[in-house]
Amino acid sequence: MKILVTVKRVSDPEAKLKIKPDGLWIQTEGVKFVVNPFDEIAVEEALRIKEKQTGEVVVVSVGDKVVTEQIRAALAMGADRGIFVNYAGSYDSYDIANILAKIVEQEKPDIIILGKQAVDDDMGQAGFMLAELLGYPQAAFASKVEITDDKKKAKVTREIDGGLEVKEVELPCIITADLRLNTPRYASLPNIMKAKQKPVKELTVESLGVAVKPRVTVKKLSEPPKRKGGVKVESVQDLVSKLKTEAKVI
Amino acid sequence: MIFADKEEYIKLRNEVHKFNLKELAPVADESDEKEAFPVSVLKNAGVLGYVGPHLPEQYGGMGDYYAKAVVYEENCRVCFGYNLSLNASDLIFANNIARHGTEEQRQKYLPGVIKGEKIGCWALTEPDAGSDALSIRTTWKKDGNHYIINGRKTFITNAPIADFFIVIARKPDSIKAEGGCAFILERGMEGLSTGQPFKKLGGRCSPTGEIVLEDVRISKEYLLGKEGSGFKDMFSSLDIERAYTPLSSIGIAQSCLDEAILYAKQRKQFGQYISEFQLIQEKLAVMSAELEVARRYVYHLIELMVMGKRITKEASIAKLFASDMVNRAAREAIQIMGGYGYMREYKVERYFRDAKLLEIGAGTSEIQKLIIARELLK
Repeated sequence: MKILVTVKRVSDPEAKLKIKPDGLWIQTEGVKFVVNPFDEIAVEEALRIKEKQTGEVVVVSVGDKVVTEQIRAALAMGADRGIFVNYAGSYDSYDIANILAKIVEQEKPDIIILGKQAVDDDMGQAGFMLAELLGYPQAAFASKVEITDDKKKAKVTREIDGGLEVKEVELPCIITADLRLNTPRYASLPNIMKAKQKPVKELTVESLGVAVKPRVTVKKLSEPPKRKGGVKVESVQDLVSKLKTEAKVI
Repeated sequence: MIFADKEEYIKLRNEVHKFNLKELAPVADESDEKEAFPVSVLKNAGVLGYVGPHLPEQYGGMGDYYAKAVVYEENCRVCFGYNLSLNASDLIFANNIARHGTEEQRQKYLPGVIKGEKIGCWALTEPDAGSDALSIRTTWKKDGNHYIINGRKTFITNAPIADFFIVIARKPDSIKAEGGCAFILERGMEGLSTGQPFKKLGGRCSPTGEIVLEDVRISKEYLLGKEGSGFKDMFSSLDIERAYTPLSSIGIAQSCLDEAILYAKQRKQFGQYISEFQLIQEKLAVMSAELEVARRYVYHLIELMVMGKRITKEASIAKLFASDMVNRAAREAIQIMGGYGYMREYKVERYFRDAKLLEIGAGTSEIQKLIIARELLK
């Protein structure tokens, strides 16, 4: 079974970020970059499926040279090989879906797993768009994935309001990983050392025949408003009335 | 390029730190308070290959001394005591087995230690023999094909929790290094007992204690190395251990600096962050300068050791300077944090207590000075 997983390079969720003077993106100097946490969950799930079914886990990332760090990080977790699409310009979710669709045509994986969204821009669209472009069935926000015994379908559990939904999708399919799907492993020392030797194929968007033309552009970033201090209330009656009239929660 | 700057070791450093923050940091304070070794962390680390990476591959290691250095430093950044016990097991105990043991002994003792399932210790120090190693009074005598060992060891890291022990003993009436033997003992052997862990200032989650040997009778499969080679083997392994020791100082000092910076950027006095005061900035700058100089020298020392160079003087220089440096760093970190730094709730209080051992254990600062001078005046 061949599984394709996407990894995006994002700023460390723990990092304190500053906005660039032009207001269009964050300052990247001195900021630590990591694998998008949802993509890490996707890699972990792919590895678990591989460990049960045998096969191959291929990781793909799009960006400039630095994203190979994140590909290596996935290889150190245990993925088998990487595909690096060298593209330094700006892009939107649809461009990424187009690039991924070409990779899928080349690689013909049985399952494609993506993080449900990247924690930097929180778009959360690439998975859906990819499914549409390929005409593949999709199961988004997976909290549990099982492959049927005949290896022809995936049974995917999703957390929905007030309960769980179980979907069955035919392979090849698109799955996007939600937070509680699994806990990603730490890279073991032997795997970290092996990662260096694993092959990473470099491609360009031109060689894939994709013309990148973002339809969505960032106009402005701003810091979240500073939290205002609370107020002290004199009595319970006061509190209840404020909850009713001001907070409107009861 | 120095090993620590290579991509794979940077990756290893990040991963071990991530593991330690999630698995070790949450139990570090409690382990210190209860003076209990966090066994489950060791087992998880073993699964990931973070225990004994320098040991030979056929027993589960990677034969990678650099990886050991990275893990060593990162462990000390989070919990010095944890590393102290780990080090006694996978570096001192296991390395002696790997270097001087028979094939049977290696197969018997190394895999368990590397998996983090078994704990080893190494015992030389006695109530009346510390820096003067050759003055030990633990004795062995022959009884047919067996040895009988008697004596008492003290200040032994891991003695209360170890499964395996290497014990150094001498033949009665032998002089200097003659008649020295190393024996491998196992918990449960008749005549071997260990005492309660000692109450200590620092490194408190690493149990330290006594070993009492009363007519411990063992066959010759338990002799490590040759009869009479005990002290010689010990001294030949010492350089490897001595190369790693200063990394403890680097790890603890890094955390002192990190905590002090974090605090200085958050604490406001007289209407401004204390990081804006030049006297605080001076402390941070000096801490960082001393730390980085020490760090690079210690990495250099590790590389010399891996190359097989004689590092007697260099190891002493590194140990002396780094242990001095970390004690200053811990003191300054507390000074920057004031009353908060003095409280057990803040981690620098533990770092301050942990740092002191580095001027004492594995050769006191005074002994290091003597070694350096002896090498200079040869």
